[in-house]
Amino acid sequence: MASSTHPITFRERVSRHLDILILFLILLALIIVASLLSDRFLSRLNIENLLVQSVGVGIAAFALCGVILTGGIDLSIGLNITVGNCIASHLFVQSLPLSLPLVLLTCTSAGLVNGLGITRLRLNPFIMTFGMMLILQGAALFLRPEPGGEIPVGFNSFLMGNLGPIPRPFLLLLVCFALSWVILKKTRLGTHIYAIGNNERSASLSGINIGRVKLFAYSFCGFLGGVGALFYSAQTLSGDPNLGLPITLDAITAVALGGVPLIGGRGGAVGVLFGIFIVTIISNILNLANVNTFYQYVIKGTILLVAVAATSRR
Amino acid sequence: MPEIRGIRPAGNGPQPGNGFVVEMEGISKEFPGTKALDGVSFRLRPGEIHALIGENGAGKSTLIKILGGIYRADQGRIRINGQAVDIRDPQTARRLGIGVVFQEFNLIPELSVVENLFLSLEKTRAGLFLRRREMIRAAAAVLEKVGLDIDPTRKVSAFSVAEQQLMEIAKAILTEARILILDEPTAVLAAPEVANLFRIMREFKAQGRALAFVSHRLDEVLEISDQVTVLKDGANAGSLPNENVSRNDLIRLMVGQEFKDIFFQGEKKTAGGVLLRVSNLWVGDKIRDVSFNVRAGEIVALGGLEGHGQQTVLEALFGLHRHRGQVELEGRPVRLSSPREALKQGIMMVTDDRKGEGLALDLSVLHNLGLLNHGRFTGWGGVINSSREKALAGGVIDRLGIKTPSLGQQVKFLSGGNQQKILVGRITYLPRVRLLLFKELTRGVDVGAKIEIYNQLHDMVKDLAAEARIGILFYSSDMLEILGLSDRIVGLYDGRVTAVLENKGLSEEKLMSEIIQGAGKAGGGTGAAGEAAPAG
Repeated sequence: MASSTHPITFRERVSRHLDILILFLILLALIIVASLLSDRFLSRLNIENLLVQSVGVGIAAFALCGVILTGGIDLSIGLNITVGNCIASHLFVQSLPLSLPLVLLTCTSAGLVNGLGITRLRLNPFIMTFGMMLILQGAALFLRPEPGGEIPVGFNSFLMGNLGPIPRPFLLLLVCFALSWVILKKTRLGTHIYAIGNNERSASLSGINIGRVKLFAYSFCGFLGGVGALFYSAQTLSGDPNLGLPITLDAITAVALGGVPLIGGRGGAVGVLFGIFIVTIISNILNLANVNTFYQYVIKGTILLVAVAATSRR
Repeated sequence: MPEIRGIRPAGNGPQPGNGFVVEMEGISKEFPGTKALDGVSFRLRPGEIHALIGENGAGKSTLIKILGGIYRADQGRIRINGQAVDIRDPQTARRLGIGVVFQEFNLIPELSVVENLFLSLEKTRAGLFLRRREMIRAAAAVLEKVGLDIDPTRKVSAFSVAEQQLMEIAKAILTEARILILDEPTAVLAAPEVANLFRIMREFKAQGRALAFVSHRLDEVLEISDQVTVLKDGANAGSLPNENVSRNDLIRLMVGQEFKDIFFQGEKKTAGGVLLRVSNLWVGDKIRDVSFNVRAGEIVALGGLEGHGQQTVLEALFGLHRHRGQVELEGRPVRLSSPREALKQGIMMVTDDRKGEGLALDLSVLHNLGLLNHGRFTGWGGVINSSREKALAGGVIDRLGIKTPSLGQQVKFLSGGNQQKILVGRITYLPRVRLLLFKELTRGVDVGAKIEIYNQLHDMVKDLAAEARIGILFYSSDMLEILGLSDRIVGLYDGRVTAVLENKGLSEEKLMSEIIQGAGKAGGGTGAAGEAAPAG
């Protein structure tokens, strides 16, 4: 490659991967701290546990990743998963082949509606998805006022359990990761998502159809929400209308920690994967150390704020 | 006076399909409050470099934006290769083979060069997956064509503005544009880069493509163009082939003949001692070694073609740019590192961007007037004394003749002229202003309101100057405004002072040529335009 006048400097080379390097170091530090705090932490059981715990938040985080990269947000993602879960808890026992696509379709449409509201009605993404969150909460409570219902055990044994040494749900997360990575890095859609997050006007002047890209991002977010619903259904074997909000919060934290600023345009799937692990390990540490739920909320809220502040600078 | 040759009346021009790639006829475009274009025609031949010139506000950018699909004309016809077209959006323009490089670039800094070059035109497999290696190869090839030897996988933000300019051109080449429009391409370039750009432009021309460019630098226009179209006040002032055309011809067409006598022509007061002394001011390489004075009670204008540093000088004095050199206020050196610092020293800037920087549009007239200094009417604990607030505001409104139904009226419902007066009126609230800076006094203000503002501003400003011994420095791209309002004019060309003129018996034309000709005398080896004049 011709690069005589402008060779890539060492600094630039480092800075390209600096975010990932920092995230790796944070993760490493957390693992060391955790293993010092509790000798159970590095046990096989706890590691498997950790991997499974990372799945729900992780899928939600990858769902959000594309949306946030365009400079948007989806506050309804947790409730989207909840509604999918509540539908599953009614219908999966009747006919899995019919109801499974229905769950994915419902969740995808909720995302699509978010996208339509934002692109066609020009609603602020925060308000649009906040409204959607409330609507979906209502729907979840209508479908399942109390936690309960039933998921066929066969579905559980299909999705849960191990494949070799690796928990199957974790493989599901890796599939979501791979899908996100390919879309963001290897397709034109991904390039357009970054372009919009960077400068919507320039992107539009360059001939990108802004509305279509955003519609895709929100619909894809909803679709991954449906995948998340499948996971939670298999894991809990029941429907729970109160599943949602903590998922949203953890997922936003994971994306922000992963180096995607809330104004979008920067960061990517690899960083978010690290963000997911960091959030999961912090939760795990707090549980292992028997920290009161009250403090857990305070600590998580603080981490969310710090993560957003750290990524929104520069 | 030499006759100006080759001005084509619209009716005599060649007919459609007569070898023009672009024919714009009778184009009109109105923005709220201003008529940007009024029946403008513009024609472009293949294998031609066509310069589009005119004073600021003449409508050049609007015309280009219509061709690029950013704006839609209210009236008029556009033909591309003889076919009537409707350029609805930028995508349509591109499909028609029109590539536009705008003044404000459309590159996305966080993406790599190759991603930017192919943005929305990505080479893909199955319409989905990027053919990255192929794109990188093609990018490197096209970058080499424009003289950029760089690694296309690096982020755009790593490169200089001049390099980004070339990337924009490379992007236009990739779209296989047959018609390339450049909006002030040389504004950000140094001399060797200009030479490189001209080489690329000539290559384009040799390939039979059509090029149009906007420039404020007449030397460059004379050097590179085959045809020059001049706009004035949103209308055609002439279109002539670049043969035996002199700068003066162009200047006369740009500024027009008539000198409208709309300005205050009072007795000039004798100015006091030196209030502001600027010595050897440098701002990057935009402002080079600029020195001048403003005396108390004096109104000094920064004059020149647009984009030659007037605005930057003003902004630097308001602490908006990092600068080198010395600034003294009443003999004491001051450090103007931020607007806050400038305000503390009694330097106040009135902005041209009323909506973006100046006014809170949804607030009332009353609150907008008081925005800068509530101290004038607040009592103990910051509680507003509203009768005092109203009395103060009422005084300003009377004095400036601001037309508003009430003090409670939201500012967004006032006309541009009245909004501007509110900005000016705020000055009254400040405790000790010593130097007032005005940026583009009357941008976006219609002619009627302009005259009113001139008169009333001038009265007020003279009053203020006499009372408080303040000085005024302003910049306007309207030469008439400069001649009508100033006592003295500091002419800037290419970031240097090329003329300092007492405003006595100056015509618009004389002023322009003094400033531009001064560049030839003052221009050192680094001046971009000075050396570019054609030999014959």
